[in-house]
Amino acid sequence: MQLPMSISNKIKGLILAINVIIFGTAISLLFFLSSISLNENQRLLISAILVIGFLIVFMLSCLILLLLHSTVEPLDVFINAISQSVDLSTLKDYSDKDDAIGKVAQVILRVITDVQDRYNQLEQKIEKRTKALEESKAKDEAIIKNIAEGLVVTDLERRIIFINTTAEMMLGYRLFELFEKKWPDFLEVKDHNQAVLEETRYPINLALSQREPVKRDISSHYYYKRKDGSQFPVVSSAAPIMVGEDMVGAVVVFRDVSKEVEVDKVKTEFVSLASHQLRTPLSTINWYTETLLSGDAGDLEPDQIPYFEQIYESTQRMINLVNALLNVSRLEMGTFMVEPEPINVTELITDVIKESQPKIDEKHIELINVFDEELPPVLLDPQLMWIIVQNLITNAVKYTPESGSVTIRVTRQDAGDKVEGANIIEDSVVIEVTDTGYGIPSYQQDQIFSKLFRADNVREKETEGTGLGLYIIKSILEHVGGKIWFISELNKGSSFFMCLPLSGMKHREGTKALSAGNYN
Amino acid sequence: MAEESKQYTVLVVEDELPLQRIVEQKLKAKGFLVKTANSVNQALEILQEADDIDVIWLDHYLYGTEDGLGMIVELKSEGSHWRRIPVFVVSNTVGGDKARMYLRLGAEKFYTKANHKLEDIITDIQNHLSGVTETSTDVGIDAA
Repeated sequence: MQLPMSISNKIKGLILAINVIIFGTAISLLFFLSSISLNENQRLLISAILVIGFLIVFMLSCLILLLLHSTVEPLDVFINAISQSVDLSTLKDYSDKDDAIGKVAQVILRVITDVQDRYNQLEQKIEKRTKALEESKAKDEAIIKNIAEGLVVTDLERRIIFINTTAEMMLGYRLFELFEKKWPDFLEVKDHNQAVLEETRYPINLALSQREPVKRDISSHYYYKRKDGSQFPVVSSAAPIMVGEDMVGAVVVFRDVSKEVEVDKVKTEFVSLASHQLRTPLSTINWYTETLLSGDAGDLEPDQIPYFEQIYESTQRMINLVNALLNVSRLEMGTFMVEPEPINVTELITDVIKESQPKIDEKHIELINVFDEELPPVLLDPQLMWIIVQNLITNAVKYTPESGSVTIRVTRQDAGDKVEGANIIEDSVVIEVTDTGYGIPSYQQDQIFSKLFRADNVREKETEGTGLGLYIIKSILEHVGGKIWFISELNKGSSFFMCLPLSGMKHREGTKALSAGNYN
Repeated sequence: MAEESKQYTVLVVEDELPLQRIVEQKLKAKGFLVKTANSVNQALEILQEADDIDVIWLDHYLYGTEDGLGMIVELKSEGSHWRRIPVFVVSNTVGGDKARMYLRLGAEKFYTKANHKLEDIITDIQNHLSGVTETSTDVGIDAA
């Protein structure tokens, strides 16, 4: 490295130059003087001034040089010393001195020490933070490793990039065996029909395309296949991994629910057996009473007939109750199925009315139908629709006194419309059943959809009724994306409204159908 | 009730005795000949011995190890002597899937006992035998 010309050298040069110029000027002036005519005294005076002048400059120069030597030169030396490398020991030596340079050296030393301290502190902080991060990461990994559910992370193409230990154990594969394999292809996922799931129905595909979590609970009855070929039932959830607005992959969590399925099976079998055990004696009473009433077991005394009729009626009530309880248990266990097909709503309602016709005629009830003829077929499960419509109509007929009237209205409502206080959220078909019957007392209106509830006013007038019909309708509608509401006035009548989206009921996987049959 | 010139024989497979008796009584009152069994084995024995069974009334839960499903599988199996006999399943069991299974295996109809009059079921059987379409107002599968 070329050292810059030192300061003292610059000044020395300058002084030399000045001396040379002054000396040269003085000599020239002296010569000039000798060539012009002056008397002796003038010549002497001028010569003396020149010489003295030069001497003054010369002495000043010497003084300056002395000063340089004591101040600037040491400074030059100092600068040279530290220009090459900042040597702490050199600096220390200089800082011991008491002069200006010493002071500068002290400052530089302080700055250096300060920076070094800061650097050390920073290093310590970084070390601490790194350690904390590592601990945190280790903890997260331990959490992921130890959760009792299988966890799988994939990229956007469903290729596996991570699988936790629990998943490895449940499936019988190690991560390295599955790396880059597509999820869940190798699992040969089966649904409750034991049919292999098509790619379009993979929850992970649905999650990635809809950008929303997709869950499959126990009612879906999905099965995964292990490496050894054995199957086990699972519940799972697939969700897209979002970083801000970007989707970067998917995460699937799943659990082996063999135990729950077993318990469920036991529960279902219990319900099945219980209902069978209840229905058997009921059927016996039913058919024996039927036989008596038909005269096939001999003629009855006219006085006896009403008694047998009462037995028959009460038996019917119990049968209805058992059916209703069965449906309630299926609704609550979530094991019922929804299988929509295109249904002509007005046709279905007409069929239900036909079934209730005897009762309608018996009570001389006027039936008014207002149907929107333009209503297109809607995707609905026919059995569930039957249960809902039958319930509403038989209720209306049952709770209306003789010569009353029942109006059934079927309309199409668009999203944003309001019907009797309820907001219609999407384009829907709305069925209204209005009667001129007993109505529901206002203090009991909030209980009308609860299980086994029957309002006081009707319990006196009409003994038949399980109190489960409306609960069941409401439950069904809630499961399939519909709604039910009503307005009612005591002794004036009630209007029940139900709506279903025109897009239809959502398909629901399940194993049981609900029971149709009179049980409201 | 129409008087048929031919008398049909019904095999009633039902394990609940009181029910078995009342069904038998009503069928006889309607002009049928009746044979009864309370288990699959017993029913199959009767089928082996007799060759004039025209219709089978089948319950699901029965005595013995086999249930109605086992029976219908046997009846409708390849090469079975009794394949063409119509089977009416009358049971109180729960389960849309069970009903579907029976129908898929070849049963004519599935009834939930408690939901029907004895009279109506027998009328259906009569109509089936005389080739008339059924009149009972069931929605699709009458499954409990």
